[in-house]
Amino acid sequence: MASRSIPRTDLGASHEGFLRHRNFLWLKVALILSLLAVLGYALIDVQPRPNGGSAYGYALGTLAALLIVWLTLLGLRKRAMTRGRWSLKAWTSAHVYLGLSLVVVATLHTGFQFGWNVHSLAYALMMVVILSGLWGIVAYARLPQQLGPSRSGMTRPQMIDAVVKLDRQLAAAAQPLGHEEAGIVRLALGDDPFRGGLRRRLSGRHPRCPSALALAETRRRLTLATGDDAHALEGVAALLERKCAALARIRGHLRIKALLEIWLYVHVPVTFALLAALAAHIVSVFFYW
Amino acid sequence: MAFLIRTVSHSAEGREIVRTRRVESDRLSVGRDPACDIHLTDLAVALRHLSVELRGGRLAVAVEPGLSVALNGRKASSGTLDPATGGDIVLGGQALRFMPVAAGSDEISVAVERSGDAEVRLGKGGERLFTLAPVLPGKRLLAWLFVLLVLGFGLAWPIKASFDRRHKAETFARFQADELWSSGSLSRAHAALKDDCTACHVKPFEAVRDAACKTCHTAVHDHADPFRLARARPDLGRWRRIELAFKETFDLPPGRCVECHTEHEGPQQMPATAQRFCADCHGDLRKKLPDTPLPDAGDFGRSHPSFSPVLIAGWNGDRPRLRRVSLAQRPQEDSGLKFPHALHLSTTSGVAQMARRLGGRFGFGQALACMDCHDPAPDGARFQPVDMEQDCAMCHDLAFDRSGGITRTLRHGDPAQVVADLRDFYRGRAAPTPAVLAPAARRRPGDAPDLRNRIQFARGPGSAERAIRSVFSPGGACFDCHRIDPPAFGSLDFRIHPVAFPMRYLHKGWFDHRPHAVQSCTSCHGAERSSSASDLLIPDVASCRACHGGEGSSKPVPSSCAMCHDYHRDAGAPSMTIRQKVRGKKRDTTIAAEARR
Amino acid sequence: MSASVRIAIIGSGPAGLSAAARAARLGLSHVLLEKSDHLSDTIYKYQKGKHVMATPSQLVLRSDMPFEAGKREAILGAWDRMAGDQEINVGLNSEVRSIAGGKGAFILALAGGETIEAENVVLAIGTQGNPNRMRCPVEAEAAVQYQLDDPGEYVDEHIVVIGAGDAGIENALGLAADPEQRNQVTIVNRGAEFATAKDANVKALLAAEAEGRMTVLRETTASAVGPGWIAFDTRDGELKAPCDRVIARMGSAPPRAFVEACGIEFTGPDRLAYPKLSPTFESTVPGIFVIGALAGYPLIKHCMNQGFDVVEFINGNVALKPADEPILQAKFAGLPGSRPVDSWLELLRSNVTILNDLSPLQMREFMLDSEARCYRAGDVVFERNAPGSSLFAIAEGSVSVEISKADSSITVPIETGSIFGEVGLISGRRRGATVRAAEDSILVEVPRMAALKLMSAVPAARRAITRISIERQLLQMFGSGLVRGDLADVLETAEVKSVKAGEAILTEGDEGQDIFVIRQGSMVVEKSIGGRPIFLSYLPAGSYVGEMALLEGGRRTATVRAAVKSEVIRLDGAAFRRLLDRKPELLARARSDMASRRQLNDFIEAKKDGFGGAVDLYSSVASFLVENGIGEATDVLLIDEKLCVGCDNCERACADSHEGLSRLDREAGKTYAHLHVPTSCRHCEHPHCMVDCPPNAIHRGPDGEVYIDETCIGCGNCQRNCPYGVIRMEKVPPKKPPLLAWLIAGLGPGPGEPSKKWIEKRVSPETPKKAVKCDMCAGITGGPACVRACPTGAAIRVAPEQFLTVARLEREG
Repeated sequence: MASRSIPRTDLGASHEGFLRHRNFLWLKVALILSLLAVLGYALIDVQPRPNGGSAYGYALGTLAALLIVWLTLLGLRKRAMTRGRWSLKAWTSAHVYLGLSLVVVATLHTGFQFGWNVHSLAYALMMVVILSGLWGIVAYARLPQQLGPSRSGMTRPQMIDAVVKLDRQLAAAAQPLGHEEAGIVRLALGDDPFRGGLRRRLSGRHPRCPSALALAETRRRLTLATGDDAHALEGVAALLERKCAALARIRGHLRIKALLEIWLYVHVPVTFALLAALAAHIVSVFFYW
Repeated sequence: MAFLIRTVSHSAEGREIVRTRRVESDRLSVGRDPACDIHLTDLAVALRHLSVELRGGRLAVAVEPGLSVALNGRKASSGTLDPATGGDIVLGGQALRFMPVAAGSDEISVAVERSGDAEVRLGKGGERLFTLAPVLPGKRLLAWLFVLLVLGFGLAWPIKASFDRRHKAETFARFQADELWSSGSLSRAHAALKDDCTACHVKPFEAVRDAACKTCHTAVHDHADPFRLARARPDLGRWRRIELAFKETFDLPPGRCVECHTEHEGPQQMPATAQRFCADCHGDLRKKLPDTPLPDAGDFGRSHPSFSPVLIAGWNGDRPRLRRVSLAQRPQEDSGLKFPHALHLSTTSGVAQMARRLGGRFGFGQALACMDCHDPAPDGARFQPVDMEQDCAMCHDLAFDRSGGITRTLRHGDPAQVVADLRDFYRGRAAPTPAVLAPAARRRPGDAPDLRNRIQFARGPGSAERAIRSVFSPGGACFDCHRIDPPAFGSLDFRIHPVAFPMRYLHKGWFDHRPHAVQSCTSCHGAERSSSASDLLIPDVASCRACHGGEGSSKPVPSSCAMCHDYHRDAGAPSMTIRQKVRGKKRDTTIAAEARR
Repeated sequence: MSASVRIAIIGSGPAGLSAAARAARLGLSHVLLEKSDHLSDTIYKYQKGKHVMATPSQLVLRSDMPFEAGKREAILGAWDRMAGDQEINVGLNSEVRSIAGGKGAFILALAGGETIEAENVVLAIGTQGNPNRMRCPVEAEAAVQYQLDDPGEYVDEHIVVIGAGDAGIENALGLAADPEQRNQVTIVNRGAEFATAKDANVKALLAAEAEGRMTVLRETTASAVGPGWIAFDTRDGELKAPCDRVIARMGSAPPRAFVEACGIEFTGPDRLAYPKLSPTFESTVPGIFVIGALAGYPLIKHCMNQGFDVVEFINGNVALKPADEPILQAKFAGLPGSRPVDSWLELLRSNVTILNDLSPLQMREFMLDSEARCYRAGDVVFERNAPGSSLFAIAEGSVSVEISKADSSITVPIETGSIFGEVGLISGRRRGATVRAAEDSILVEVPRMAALKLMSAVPAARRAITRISIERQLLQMFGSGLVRGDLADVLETAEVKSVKAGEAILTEGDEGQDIFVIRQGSMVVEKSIGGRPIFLSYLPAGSYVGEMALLEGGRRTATVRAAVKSEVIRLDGAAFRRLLDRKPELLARARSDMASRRQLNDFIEAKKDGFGGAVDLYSSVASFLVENGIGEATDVLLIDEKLCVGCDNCERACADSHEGLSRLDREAGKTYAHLHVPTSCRHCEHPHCMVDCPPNAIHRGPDGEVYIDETCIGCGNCQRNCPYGVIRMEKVPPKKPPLLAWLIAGLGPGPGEPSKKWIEKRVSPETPKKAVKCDMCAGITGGPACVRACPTGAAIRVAPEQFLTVARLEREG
């Protein structure tokens, strides 16, 4: 009906995740690559037994090394906002699938000879990196759905603000309270949602959360209190409830973010360990050629 | 008396806000209760925390029971201050500073200040707080740590070790870091070298060279002249070309020992060279090296040239002329001996009867067998040369007289002595030549009395010469087996043509009789059909092929080149067969029967 | 004081000051009247340390007052000093209430009651006007003020802010912001709702109320103010409260009333209209001269020059050429035949219809903004689909429009005096056709701002442009061989109708034959299925609706409502029907359009029966997007929260591919069904930010992106005007250490926008803030960085008409 012809560019193309990027292009590439590697391994009979030192071994090794270096470059690509028609999505897609194909290529490169040496070290590190990567893929596939809702429409600064504001209100509301009750409120005021180590971040469980304790205690006293105290305590309790909710929101968000992020703390550093091991592997091979 | 209260606070943008109030009283109450003279909103402060009262020229500080303050820095629940000197009270986050009162002044000024930070600024550090950065060591830090660790252990340490090896002797034979580089244990042969990397890896970044191998393996010689070797190589396929180019760029001379003798592949031995590695070149060697004397050889079962044994082709005077002749040319051998194998092996001839007669003494069977005359060499691989005294004399003795139990025997191998003995025997007496001395008459072993008659007869002048002649003449004892060079007319200087046998016929390939013991000799050597000593009884390829086929053939004994030939040495047993012995591996022997067919 | 002066200058802004300075220099008796207690109130009210720009740079300053770009304080300081040095006769706190008398003998009545006699009056009072005063009785000692310069300076006070407009709310919030100040802030709103205030401000206010930081009195007015107290009458009666200070922010009356009271005529009734002026700034009242912003010259340099000129004129130096003469000369230099500037101006004015009734002065102003160029025959003026919002007028010669995409030989001529390019001007869309000069011609290109100014200043011009634009739009839409003649009677019936967001122009099931053409904004088509309205499709400007009922007869088959404030052209059904009958190919076109729409309806119905879920989702998502202003967007960033891992790489990429400031906030913004609309520019068809940009620094770029160029003076108007809050006022951070330095050694703040602290440490507080907003990464090969840099493909950029098609439904359903 619209007289202006509307470009019906299929959004499907632009709107597919990195895993199914361009209809699994890189998955296919990776599969073909692995297949070729396996075929070569099967067909080329190396005397006395398959090993990294054979011509085919060198070929696989070079391929694997180049792959590893290229895969590492994702970190650079991601941060260097150069001009040009590249898409990080495509890179990630390739990163994921080629990275997985490395399992085949590199393993064949070893010729299934392992030992307590730098060569096997490099291999082991590589496997660690790849496994952590798999973990990351799973995380990226499952968690994002929860990430958005966990903010319940607030930005991070807003979430913090909410707590700060509540603290201020608490401080005000607690003015008429006696010294003890005030102490309880102070307990909650000191409460920092970002406190606590890794375990709390990942579990999202915060046993003995000061605010929660304060709330419980306030409620208890509320049952006994009367008159103005009761009134003041009610106000405080209400505020504490809201604060606990606000904290819970932040912590929930923190948890998902942590889960989305934690694997990188294995993936990235070990990648560099891998690069170092790779360097050692290559140098040593040619040092004692 | 009055208190002048100065409350100092700071606005968000850091502007100082000062509020002053005057309390006309001697008593000053401090607390969170708005009714207090000094009203502090800090929750750490009790509703009515303390009171300061001017008593007797001193300021008495009274803190609510159960509470406390820091009075001039000391924790206290009560105390006094001297207005003249002033002092301070800290409670919660605030400090009350009592300024020294000037003499005569009737007001005590108190400054109320926030000591330390008022409230914890939550969420400072912004969005970073939401990452894991605050609770985990930084990725960069970890990365660097790992990198240094790995490089240190995997690279720096071993390199240092490898340089130590070059300079310190004692480093040999105990663990050094550079063994972290070993990609696998060494072969059995080199196991001893496991702690001595630099034994083979002589120079850093230089691929192991043959020189390193040759420090121990001194005897090994090249398979052939490297240049001819190179030329003989099969046409390079694309991959070989690439490989070669690769080797050139990385300075890896082709044909290094290590190319075949790969190492760090686990505790194993070098496998026998596969047939195709030989066939690659030798299959059509003639094409690539037109001037080679070697015939093309591929699969033993299909394309193996006929054997070319080294045999005595003739004589230059007393020296045998050895020649290598292909069996295809049906060569004759001239050993200088007369010996019909067929006659000796016959089961019906007189030889057989005699064998039976003498069997008791010499352990012959119903007829003579090869073993009766041929003795294997100690190693059993080959046979000792036949020896007249040992192997023939039991039948062919040279006795010619017995008197009083003494048997006179012609000396074998010394014609001059024979002549002398006979002369000496005839000297002095002469006898009529018995009829039996007719030259025609053939002597047969064992008819000694006959011989005696003749000798008797020969006693007498002139008969010695006749006797000597007859010994060397056809029918004579020597002439039967030997070729005689007759003397000049009238002379008696008879000469026996020397006899020689090659110790080994097949020099280029290895043959061992022991594994073949299961076969009867004649199944390969056609002795029972040979009536002349000049027949060469070396079996031909065909007869081998009865049991032996090429590598992977269906024949009972698939035989790769390595079974008879060795890449490096050509005399002696090839390493493959040696190893088989070492492993005590036996060829299956049930083939005998069907192989004979 | 009741002296008589040669020149009375009212208003001590740049214009007035400059005029006074000139007068002082020429030794003319004069007085400079300023209502406030300090000179040049407008600039005085700039925020502290604000950087004042000196644009346009090419304009030479001609004044006895110094002026160059710099900090507010420096400029004001310099002026005060000069005013003293030059012995300008200044009368502060003397607000002129009325001007009586005529040339040579004007009587100026001041607020204080004194009068001043003057031969000439120079009005340099700007456009700011006077704040509305308290209407209730105010006792003398009561502290009542009409502005708030520094909220930080009041402590421990009961402060009542009257008027809950943006200004009032911002003041109140400022006063209550810091609890340390312990101010008891009360804000008074006459109504129950805060209609006049911006959403963000209202939210903040309510939050503050909830936190008990301030008191909000609704449906309340002040009834009396005294020292330390104030009385309100509220819905439930009188209320008296302690009050140390009243801040009245009840808006301000534009000066127009006052000016007209002086007998000065304006060019039109429009808000943006200016007083009629002669080339010497003399208004319709002889002896009263109008200069500065009030005369339509918002920029300081202009004002100061005019101040200088007007005094020269009054002094009889009529030959004086305006300071902008050289600029105009430069503009006309390129044209054939060397004429003096005036004759050029005259030529353009007389030839171009829409310029006919401009005053010479307006002509100058107009030409300062516009360009006059000459084109050889065949030269391309602009290409089809080229972006551009400027208007072209033909001063000499003629042009031909290639109306057919396919065949460039089909052209329509446009003759001398007429205009073209107005569609771009109206709808902000790209050019609809290629235009070439048919013969050697002289064309005037009028930038959007100038064109709008013109339209508001000259009603005739507006009418002309509107009519032509409608005609052209129809021609362009229905194309297929229509010529102007054909449309004549349709146009007779055509009426432009503006539609509020959400208002329906067609309602399903209604009678009606009329055709609606969307001229501005966009519409959504809904069909109620199973009692629920189901989103059918989205119509951008330039579409038409209503043909179904017209062709088929019967009732409307769907409801069409405005997605955003829009303008439609209503065409009488009957007239259109006649047109169709006359033009079979047009009829065919209409039928095919209708068929496709019918198809869509059926499809939706089918889907609906099949699985309602998909349709509902699709429909609700669509309406959600429309609610979030996608309707008026041309290109919008969406984030699929099923994929977004919250790595914020989009923001970093944005910052790094620009000057280090991110132009999008991933988290902010609404989410629906995992579809998140982050806060980033939608590049509206009619950018709100463009509306009021003093240096006209906001443009629509080659790819339809709306961008701010480097002439931005950091006034923040665009930020205030943007309803989506996508424009930031920030200081440009310095260069960061190279990326590798950060990766390896952790030097610098790393990728993305540096933290505020980092920037503050390195940027001097003087450096001016500038407005930053998404420019769709124009000129960056590879396109928008945010999308390129999304590792998971969560971020996508779409044009609404792409996104809001059933294509999605087909895919997802």
